[in-house]
Amino acid sequence: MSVDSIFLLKLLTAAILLATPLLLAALGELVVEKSGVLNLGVEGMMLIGALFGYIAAYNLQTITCLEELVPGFCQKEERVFTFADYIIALLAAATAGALLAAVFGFLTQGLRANHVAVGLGLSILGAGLSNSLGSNFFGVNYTSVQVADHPEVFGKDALVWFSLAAVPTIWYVLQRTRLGLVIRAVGENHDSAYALGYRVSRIRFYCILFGGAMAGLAGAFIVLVHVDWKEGVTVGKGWLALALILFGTWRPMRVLCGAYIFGLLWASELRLDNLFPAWQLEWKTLLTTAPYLLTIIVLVLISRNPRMIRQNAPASLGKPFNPPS
Amino acid sequence: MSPAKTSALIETRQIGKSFGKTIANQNIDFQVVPGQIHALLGENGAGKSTLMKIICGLQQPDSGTLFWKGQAVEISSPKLARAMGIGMVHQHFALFEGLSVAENIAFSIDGAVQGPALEKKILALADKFGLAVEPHRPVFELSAGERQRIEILRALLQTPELLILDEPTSVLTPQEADQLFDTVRKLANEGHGVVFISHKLKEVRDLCDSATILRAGTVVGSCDPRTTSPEEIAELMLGSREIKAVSTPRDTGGERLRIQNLTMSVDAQSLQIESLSLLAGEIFGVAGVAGNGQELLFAALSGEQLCRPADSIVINNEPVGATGPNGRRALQAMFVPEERLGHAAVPHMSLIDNTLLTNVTNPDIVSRGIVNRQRLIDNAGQISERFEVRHPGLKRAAQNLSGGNLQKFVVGRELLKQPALLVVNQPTWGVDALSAVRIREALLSLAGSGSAILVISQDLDELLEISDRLAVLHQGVLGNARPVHEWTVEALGLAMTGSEDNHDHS
Amino acid sequence: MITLERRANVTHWTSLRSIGIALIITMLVSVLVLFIMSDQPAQAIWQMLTFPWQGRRMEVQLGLVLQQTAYLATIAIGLSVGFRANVWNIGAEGQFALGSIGAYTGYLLLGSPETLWALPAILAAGMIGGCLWALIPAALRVTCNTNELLTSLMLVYIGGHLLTYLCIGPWKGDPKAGQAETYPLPDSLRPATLISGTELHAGLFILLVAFIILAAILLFTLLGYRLRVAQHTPRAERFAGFSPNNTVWMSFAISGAMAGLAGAVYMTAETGKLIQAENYLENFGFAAIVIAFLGRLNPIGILLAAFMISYVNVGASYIQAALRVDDSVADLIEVAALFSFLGTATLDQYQLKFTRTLRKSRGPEVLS
Repeated sequence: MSVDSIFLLKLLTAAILLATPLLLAALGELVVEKSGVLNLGVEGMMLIGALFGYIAAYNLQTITCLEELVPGFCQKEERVFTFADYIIALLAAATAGALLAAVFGFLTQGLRANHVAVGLGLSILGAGLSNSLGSNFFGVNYTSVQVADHPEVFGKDALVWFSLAAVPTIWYVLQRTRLGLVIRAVGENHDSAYALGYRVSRIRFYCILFGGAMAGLAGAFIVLVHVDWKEGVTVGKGWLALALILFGTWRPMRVLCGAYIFGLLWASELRLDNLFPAWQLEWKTLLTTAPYLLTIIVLVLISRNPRMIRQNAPASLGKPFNPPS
Repeated sequence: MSPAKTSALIETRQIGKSFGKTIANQNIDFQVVPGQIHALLGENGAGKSTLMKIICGLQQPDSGTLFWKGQAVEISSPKLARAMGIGMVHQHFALFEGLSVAENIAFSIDGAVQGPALEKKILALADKFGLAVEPHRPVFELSAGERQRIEILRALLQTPELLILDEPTSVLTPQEADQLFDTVRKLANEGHGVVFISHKLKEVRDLCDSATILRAGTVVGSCDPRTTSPEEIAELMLGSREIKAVSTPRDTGGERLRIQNLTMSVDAQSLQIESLSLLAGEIFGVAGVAGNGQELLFAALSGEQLCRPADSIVINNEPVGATGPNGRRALQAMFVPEERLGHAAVPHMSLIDNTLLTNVTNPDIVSRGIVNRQRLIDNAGQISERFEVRHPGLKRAAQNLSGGNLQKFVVGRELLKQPALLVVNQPTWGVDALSAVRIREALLSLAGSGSAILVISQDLDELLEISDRLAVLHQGVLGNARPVHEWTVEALGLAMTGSEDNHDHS
Repeated sequence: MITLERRANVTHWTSLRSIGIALIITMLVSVLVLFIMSDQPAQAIWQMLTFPWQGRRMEVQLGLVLQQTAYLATIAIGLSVGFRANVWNIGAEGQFALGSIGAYTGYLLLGSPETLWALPAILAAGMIGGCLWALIPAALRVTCNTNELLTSLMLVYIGGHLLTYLCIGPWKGDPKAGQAETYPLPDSLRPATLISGTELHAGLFILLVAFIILAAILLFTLLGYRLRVAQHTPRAERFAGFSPNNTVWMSFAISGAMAGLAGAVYMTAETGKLIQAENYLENFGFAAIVIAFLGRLNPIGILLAAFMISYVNVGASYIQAALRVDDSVADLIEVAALFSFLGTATLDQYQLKFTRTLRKSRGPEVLS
């Protein structure tokens, strides 16, 4: 294998590692937005998912002492983290994400509070809660805690495969099933859907829970597969996931492409020194803005095309729903 | 005249329904037999929709009995009605713009048929009744006629034996209407019963083989519209009304409003006015059935919709077609829209703040962008005092007022400015009788003081009471204006139902 | 289940009551948070409430609170302009960064002056910077109908990276510094400290003046009125002769200029230079959104909310140092306040009804 192809392989692996959490979070939020709700709290739900996934994994791992020279003081230990542990940790993360989403759902659907304000608050809440619980759990001044070795290749891949499988599944459910039809109709015109006898708020609430669970998984992926838990470990991926949905014009396949484009951009930026050793640091900084710039450009292009918007964008997105009482 | 009881598809006997003090339906006997296209005629508020809602299961009658194929039934829900075989095509389509035709239908029918099977069924039905649709197209691309076809297909998919069409042609082009009539005839030939609600006598005479006429909640007659003269039907619909013998003598002065060759079309509404001239001291009434372009006429006059060329609307000798609302207010023209909450007033704002809404360019209240709060409060106080607005406090939100009091407020807000021209849409709609009287008196006294007033109203009695001249708006076209005493009820009825060509063009 | 029923009568009393309820909920949640987060909860609560009188001099602590209040309130009142009119500028963080960049650009364009007289021009340049950055989403919304909420958010990240780029690249200052930063402004240019030993400086006074001017505009002029009309009733907005597009332009221009001014003051007074984004931006732009809503988009409410949140923030960092309680309690309290205020705001308009019916059927089937 030539050096170039090894490098390329590394680049691709890095791209997948960066793209998968984006994809997971974006797919969840896509369903939420299709039902007409804009939840800006993705970042917060990811952080909470990350923390709880990490705590679960930390507690589930089996530590066996291999060398105990001084009694009660282990010199060499083995940490085992099974696939089953991995799944349980993921479930914990998804549950945590969904619980935080439930707060959003209660405020926006139950009490009809403003989506934008509550969503932003949710992001702050997620960050604050994960920081404070994290510091409670791992101590105030911890630097990094190791969850032994990361899961084996199969386990590592599982969530990647899951995210890839979720793309056609979500597409199928949204486009080809009654459930998807109901979700889209609610997002399209909540008043008409209500008049036809559908419980708009309830349907949306379930979608919000789903979005929270997916965001939780996305967070868990970051800390279980990619890096260790630390404060603000998601580094703005939640916000990028929001951009990604627009980039993909609310279509799962395009969101997938977008996630991998973003991932590749990101990965190559991290490896820019290898790619273009001559390039200066400052240019790399500018390249970091590429996903955001691309998103704005795509956004402008699709907004200029009303047909595109009306066919894909949920017409009731973020609009307050006040059923006649 | 009535066929054997067993042959009737639906029959109502002595149906009564009232909302509070308003009697919507009283002792209504009505029946439709299979294969019949039955017209239901009547003015706005005659009780047609209430009767249809009762038949569709949307409302329950207070008294009387419904018979479905000779069996006494209680139709407790629309779902039940659909299951029995009663389908309704609503006037306003509740469609989902972003979804495809097939998805829209799939979403709103109760049946379990989905996907390709449903599509096949849709296409088969569409073919049978000549309703061209493309199941995969998103609805937002479709015209009003195409959208209506979806509604009809939706109703037909549930194999109704009785189909109710509620003012189906109000949003259609004449060509689309013709297509619809073909479909309706096919349905009747297949043995379906059809109820056709309309204001347009010409259509009814072309299409229907029997008609029931409602007025003020009771059946005032039934006939075969093909053999009964339109004059007779119009008279049945409107009843006998007193027409002022001679218009009140009032000094008329210079021209306040002139409309010339105005044609505009926004969304589904169109407006066409050849010429209209309104003099100081005159009250001009615009009659017409709802949805015939009243909204657009008001928006064109108030400047919320601009029009070209600028001199197609002239206020106080200034061409204003390209001028916004405040530019027109500067010419002493004031406007009172139909919708009180959300258009004439901001629901959650106080009466004081709502006073500012149409006074933003009033130099007495706003100077250099700064609001003189005291003057504003005084102004709000004057309005409520002079026009007897009963309110819980000027600082309280407009939504806290009763309909009548808020209407007095929004009318008074404009009257206080002593406008040279006042345009008012539905001045007493949904207002208690006492407030209505008070508002009409105020309008008359304003005209007496030399203002020109244009009143758009669907309440014929009101127009006959206060206007000096009257014209009828039908499908966006304003007919010839005549002094009120030159109108007969018959002529009005014919003009409002579009049976008589009362325009000097076309 | 719980249903909401529209109140027939909305009075000041109802909104006062809901504010009271929100405050009580916030306090309860705060106490709960401190109980969980701290080993000495009673101590933590006491110190959190009274930190200005603990330890260091009171004016220093209160100075810190007022300093934060000034930035947050200035940005938040600017944002409230758009929020009133349903124009969603959530990119104040980026406009703050561009305000700082604008101010530094102004400084460089003026040929790196030394006299204080250049300061107004530098601050003005910052306002223009923030304003222009905010006009990008406005222009896209008006011309292309692009969702301004998302574009303004994207521009936050682009703005942040732009700041870092400038610090690493063209305006790179002292290479020995531990972070990427520009060369500092001369001390003579920096707003003077008003009370020695505290963080209170003339820049904050400028922010206060800007706040008061905008508050007066919103409360007493037609501009403020039209924004309130635009909030819920676009039809009434047009009837009153206001153009919706102008509302978008104005909202963004004003909120951008306010955030830009805050950024410019921050650069000249606090840091004296530009620093790479992650060490420079303190999330004022996002916190201000919370404060705008906490203050119910009302200038006085915003001022109170900004003070309250700043007090909590400074108090949290105090107890972090004193009692080793993680300062993220401030975030938690902030969100508790936001959620209880937003949740109870609904109670102004609606009444909660607890019904026992377990209706399984779908809702009302009314089509009209």
